[in-house]
Amino acid sequence: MKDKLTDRSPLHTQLREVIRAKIDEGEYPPGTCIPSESQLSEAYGLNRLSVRSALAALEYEGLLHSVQGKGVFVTAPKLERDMETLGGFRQTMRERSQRPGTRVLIKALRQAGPLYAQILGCAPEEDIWYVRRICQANGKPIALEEIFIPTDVVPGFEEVDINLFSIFEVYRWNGIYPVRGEQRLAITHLDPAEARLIGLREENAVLEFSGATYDREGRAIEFSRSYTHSDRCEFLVHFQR
Amino acid sequence: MVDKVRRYTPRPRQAAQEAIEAYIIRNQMKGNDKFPPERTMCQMWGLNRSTLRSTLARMVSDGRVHAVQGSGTCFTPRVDRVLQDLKSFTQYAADLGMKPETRLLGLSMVECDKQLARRFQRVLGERLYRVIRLRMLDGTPLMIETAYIPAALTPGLEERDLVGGSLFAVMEENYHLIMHHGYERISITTTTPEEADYLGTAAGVPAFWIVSEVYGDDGSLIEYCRTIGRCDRMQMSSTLYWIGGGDEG
Repeated sequence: MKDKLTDRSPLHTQLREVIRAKIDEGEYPPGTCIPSESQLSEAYGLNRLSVRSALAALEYEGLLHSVQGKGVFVTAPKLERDMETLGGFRQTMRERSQRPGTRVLIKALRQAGPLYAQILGCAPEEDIWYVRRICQANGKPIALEEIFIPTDVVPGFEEVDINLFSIFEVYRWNGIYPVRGEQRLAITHLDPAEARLIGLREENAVLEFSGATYDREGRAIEFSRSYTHSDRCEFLVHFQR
Repeated sequence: MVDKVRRYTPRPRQAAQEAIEAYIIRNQMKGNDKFPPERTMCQMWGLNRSTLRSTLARMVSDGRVHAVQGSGTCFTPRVDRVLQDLKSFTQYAADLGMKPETRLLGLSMVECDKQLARRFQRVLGERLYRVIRLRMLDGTPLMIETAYIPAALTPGLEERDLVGGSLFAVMEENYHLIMHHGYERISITTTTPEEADYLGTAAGVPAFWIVSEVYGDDGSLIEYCRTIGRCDRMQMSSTLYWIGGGDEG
């Protein structure tokens, strides 16, 4: 419940509602950084303490998320449903119960090329987003992941810090909901340099988990491929008659 | 906080692999379909010969393609094991239009050791059937399955036909045991010399390691199975659906 604001309301409450409105109206989109404490205090002529108290309230509500040394970020509205709940069968990686983390190695535009053009339904010379990152569980690298996304699926992607937000969150902010995923599990080998990234020697085999994800309209919204250290992770599939 | 937009250019071998994979999809390659000669592939995709060769060599070792003396590079077909349906081996072989074949490698009665007793929630020393079977498709060995079934549930199992169809069919028809739900854990192992012998691979090569449990409708474990599968001839696949994903937003 929002308090009814008047000019007599405390300044930190007024500032809180100013920021809330800017988040609601999309002036501060999810995943981006809002102005710093000192910028806000200068812009509104408030002391730092008031600014801090306004931000703290919004952080408490879960609208903001501050990251030491990086700034204060806008989070996405909390999801009501568990995105990982699947119809028919569930598939989880066992490390889900552990503290997950990612380290982004590459986030860049590349030409789709013949393969991803076919999978994502775009032209081979069109640009797509390419993300390459290491997935960690409790700080330990467990998988090397590559994600290919058509640029029109995630407008403004260059501004989103994907060290802080999951790519599925980014889809949600853009009103995109994955409804179907195709998955394939095979065994392959990595190049020595890649293998080292997840703590493997070259001769170790890895589980290659890949597939495209589709939205309601049947449009491919991403293709992803992960190479998983099988000593640290296994795949679990439930089935039901 | 704006990341600078970088550009990424795939390395030559990566580009070569993408071109080959795209070719496989576009031409819907199956069976032992042939690729064009190396020279043609190089011209088609603007690759140099050594890049193409090292990429193909890599794909050979992953079991994606294979070389055939005198006729160049061929696609290596893989069996797709669909995970979420409980289709039997026999059934999916039929779907693929391939000929299934099962060889019984071993049938014995074992006593529950500590681990098995715990898993089956049975008493130490209680008897289990252990059925070891080699599954083949069109004459190519695919996997070795070692299944454990409580002997109390399936008396006289040794009299039944254990190679003609699925164990579940045998259990359902003869013992009214219905598989209700279960799970599989999938990871990697390497083949022992004996397993390699049956599977027709080199010893010590990576293989799928699948551990599964199937429960009956009363919630008790009716089968525990350990499977070792050739990763150059099979892959797993599934389609998943997000509940409610369609009506949000």
